[in-house]
Formats: sequence, C-alpha cells, structure tokens
Amino acid sequence: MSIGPNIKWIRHNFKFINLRLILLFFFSIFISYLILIKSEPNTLFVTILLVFSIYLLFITIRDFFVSNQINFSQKISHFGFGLLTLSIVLNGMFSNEIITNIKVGEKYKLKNGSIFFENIKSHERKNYISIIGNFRIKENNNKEIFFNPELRIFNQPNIVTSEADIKTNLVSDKFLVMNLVKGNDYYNIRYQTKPFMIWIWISSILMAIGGLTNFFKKK
Amino acid sequence: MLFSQIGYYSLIFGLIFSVILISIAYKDLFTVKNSINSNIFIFTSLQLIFVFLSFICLIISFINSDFSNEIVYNNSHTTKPLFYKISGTWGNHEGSLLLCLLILVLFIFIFLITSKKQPKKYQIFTLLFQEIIIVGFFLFILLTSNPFNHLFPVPKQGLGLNPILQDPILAVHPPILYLGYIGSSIILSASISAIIQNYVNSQWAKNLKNWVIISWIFLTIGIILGSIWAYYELGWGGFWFWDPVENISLMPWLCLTALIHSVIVLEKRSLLATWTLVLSISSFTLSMCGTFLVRSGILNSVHTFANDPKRGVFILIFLFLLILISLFIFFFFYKEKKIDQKNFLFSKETSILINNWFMMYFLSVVLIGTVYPIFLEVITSEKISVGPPFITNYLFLF
Repeated sequence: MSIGPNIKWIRHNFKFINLRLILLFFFSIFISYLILIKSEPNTLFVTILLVFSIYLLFITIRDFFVSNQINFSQKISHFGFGLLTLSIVLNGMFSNEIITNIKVGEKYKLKNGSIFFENIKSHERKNYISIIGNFRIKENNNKEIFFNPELRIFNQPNIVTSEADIKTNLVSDKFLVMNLVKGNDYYNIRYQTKPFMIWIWISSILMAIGGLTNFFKKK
Repeated sequence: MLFSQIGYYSLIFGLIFSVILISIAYKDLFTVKNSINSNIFIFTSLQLIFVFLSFICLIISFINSDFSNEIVYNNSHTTKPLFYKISGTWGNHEGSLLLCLLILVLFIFIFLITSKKQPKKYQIFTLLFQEIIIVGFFLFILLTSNPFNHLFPVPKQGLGLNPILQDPILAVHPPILYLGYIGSSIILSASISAIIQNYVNSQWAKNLKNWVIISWIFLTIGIILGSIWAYYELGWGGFWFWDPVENISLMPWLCLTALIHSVIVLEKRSLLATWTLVLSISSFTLSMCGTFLVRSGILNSVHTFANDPKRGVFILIFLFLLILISLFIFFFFYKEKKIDQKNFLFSKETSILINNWFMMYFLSVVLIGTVYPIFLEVITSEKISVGPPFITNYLFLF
C-alpha cells in the first residue's frame, strides 16, 4: 500500500525506489525505536506492524504534496488506513486498565495517584432511573479529573445498563465505567487510559470520506 | 391496527408488482427495441412506493404504540422517547427485514434510473436477478417474519425495547449497515448479468465501481458506528473484540475493499475480470451468510433477535439457491477473454493483486475463526470460543 499507488500501470522502472523512500523507511524504523523504548517489551509482530504503519503514514503524507499520479480520494483513504493502523497499534501498546471494587467514600490507590468515589446521585428519567457516580481521580501530576459514570435501571424490561464516562482529548481517552456488585454496597469500576482512541474514529471516517470524494472528482 | 392492515396489504401488492415486473422484464428480453419497456419503470416505482408505504405504516404503528401489532408489543413501550420508538422499527428481526427489503427495491430503482446508457439486456438481466432476491425477501417476510402480525386481545402495554439498543448511535447503525450489506446485492446482480451478456469489460467496471464504493462507504460507516457504540456502551472499554457478529460485518468489508481495487484494474487495464466477478459474488454471499448466522440464532449476541429454526432453514435454502445459481452462471456462462497484454512484476496491477491476496488471507482467517466453532459444535458437540488470540495470531503472520 505504501509503494503500490506510486507505481505506474503496465510496467514500472525499478529506479522508482529512490533514496527518499529508503531514507523514509529508515526514519520510520528510528521513530518506531523511540516509541518502543518507551513501552513495555513487545512481540516481533507488534514491532514490524509499528514500523510499517509509520512508514505507510509517512508515504501517504508525502503523496499529498508530491504525487500527482494518485487521485485525491485514494490519497485520503490510504492516509486514513495508515493512520488507523498506527492508532490501533499504539492503542494496543499503551492502553492500561484498573479493575476494582469500591464503595461510596472509599479511596483506591493507583501507582501514581488515586481514585476517590465521592458519592452517588439518583434521578428519575422518562423510562429509567439514572444513578450517577461521582469519581475524583488524581494522577501523578496532581491534576484532578472528575468522572460521572452512570447506571440506568430500566423497568420495562427490567435491565440495568452502564454508561461509561469518557474524557477524550487528541492524545488519549480516559474511560471510567461502574457496575453493580450483587448483594453488597460495592461497585465494580473499570478505569482505563486508551491512547489515540479519537484517531481510530477519525481515521476510519477519513477512509469513508475518501470513498465519498470519489463521486465528486472531475470526470 | 389500520396502519398494520395497510402495511400488510402494501407488502402483498409489492410482491405482486415484483412478480409482474419479472414477467414484463422477461418478455422485454425478446423485443428488438433498444430501450427498456417503460412499464418496467412504472412497476419498479410502484414496487418501491408500496414497500415504502408498508415501512411507513410500521413506523406509525410504533409511534402510536399500537400494541395490536405483535412486534410493536414485543419491542416498544408507551414511556419510550419518540426517537427510540421510531428506531425500534428496525431494532427487531421483522422490522429490520422490512428495512432490508426497502433498500433492495430502492437500489434497483436507482440502478435503472442511473444505468440508462448501459446495454438494454444487461439492465434487464440485472433487474431480473435483483427481483429474484427481492421476491425471496418478500416470501421470507410474509411466510416467516411478518411485521404486521395481529394480537388479540390487544395488550395495554408493550414489553419495551432492549435498553442497550436505546442509544442514538445504535438507532442509526442498522440502517447504515444494511445499506452496505444490501447494497452489495446490486453488485451481485450486475455481475451475474454481465456474465450472461458477456459484458465484463472496462465500461461495465466503470459502472460497477460506483455501486461497490457506495456499499463500501456505508459498510465502513456502519462498522465504525457499531464500534463506537460498543466502546462506550458495553462497558469493557474496547472497540473490537473479534466477536462473531463483528466478524460477519468485517468479512464483506474485506471483500468489498479487495473488489474496489480489482474493479479499478478492470476499468483501467481490462485485467482481473475473474477476481472482480468472484469478489462481487462473494460480497453479497458473505452478507447473506452473516444474516443466516445471526438470524437463525446460531450466534448469540445482541443482534440475535430470535431463535427460530424455521427462519434459519428458509435463509439457508435461499442462500444455497443464490450461491448455486451464481456459481452455475459463473462456471457455465463466463467466457474469460484472452487479453494480449504482458504483465510485469513491477506494475500497479501486480501490487493490487498482492493487496487482494492479503485481503483474501485476512478474510479466510476471520471466516475460519467465525465458522469453525459452529462446525465443531455440530460435529462433536464440543463448544469452543475462538477469540482475539486466534485471530490476531493468524491475521498478522506477516
């Protein structure tokens, strides 16, 4: 996918493998190396996938500025695919999760901070009862984040669903969801940090936009 | 109750128009006129209008909380917000099939309008094959999954829609996904027609490409919406779990992605014709296989609306006939054109071919991971679950 779109139909000269493409490949290896030393040990497969996804992203970015041979819709879709692959790989590498049972007023100690379950509030909605938990999470830089995950108790049919509270920014998602633990005052909570989540959605949408722009190109 | 009656009889009329349409189209094959019979446009419009009317009636029944209708009773409740009353229309087996039928008739209508420059017989054969699928869906709905079944005495209150389906994203996820799945039916019909008419060429590829891209876009958006919903609603914080129902949507997507690339090669270089045809047939077949696995109750998930073996048997027979007819036509009618062109290893077409091999490999892994536990259970009664480790280990061998 990195090389294919730049190759000509019928026959292409081998000379297309120019120095820039080779340099970009080595640059991708270097960037991957920098990422890998920041993460926990990974399998060979993750390493290869990381290198190739970075390379694909670089090549597709380059194509926006250099290649006239590739049409715009193809550039967008391929860029979206490159970004999607990279986001998924980074998401898999750097995601972390804490699962614990906690009750109102309790504090759970994290490696570099804490989760404090402040209180719960109940609201009557049109077709369900909403129970909203208030959580305060302190992280290593002493920054406080407030989460309000929700439990919805439907009476028709009688089912409890949990709505996660997700704080999204360009770098990562912080995700907190709570569930009832039967028979006691404890709530089961799941707190996750998921890097590059938003980029997974954006890149997938870019792929679809790429397809869509195909209908607007000049015939 | 009135709307249920109107909806039901609209479906019957829709079926009658489809049968008439088949007969007119068949007769039109033997006329010498260059353009297709104007009655075909009239009956295609009527078919669309009546199926649309039927669907609107079902929506109104949901809005009015008409519990004399069995599926409204099973899937709605008076306290439900209006938005979810409407989305409840396709949040069940019967309603979603009616939506599929609406998409089928809408697509053939658009095809006929936008393909007037295509050869007449190609248009007619596409219409005929699409109508066979449409009649199959009509029969399936009317015989096993009638959305207008009547209840007496009329219950005062409904059972309500599954709460996890009461979500804005999930309200729009099924129609978009169906546009992708069912959109691939026109690709299949057009391919079968092109084989019969020996019209598998670059001009055909240019026409087909638009349909492939439309299906692919909707399928992509549908899958994204499903993933976003799973991420924040299911409470485990992931966006893809290689769940069989997720896999079922991924398989036609992989197929369509490979097809987009093949059809470009066919358009530009008149190569990969066989690839294009096989992928066209596979896309809709995989969509239908997905429908069979989900609707028969073989796979248990939020998408499994009912465990009704009768429905499973109907879809299985329909699917079997569809595959049989498609393969028969492919093997006995397809004449591969010998193209006097040299193929070089270092060319765009070769890189696309390699891309297709990768896609087919990914597709095979996902397919095996999805159906292997089913076959194993049938043969040995042993229950196993093939999850992320299997798929990721084999998917990324490269």
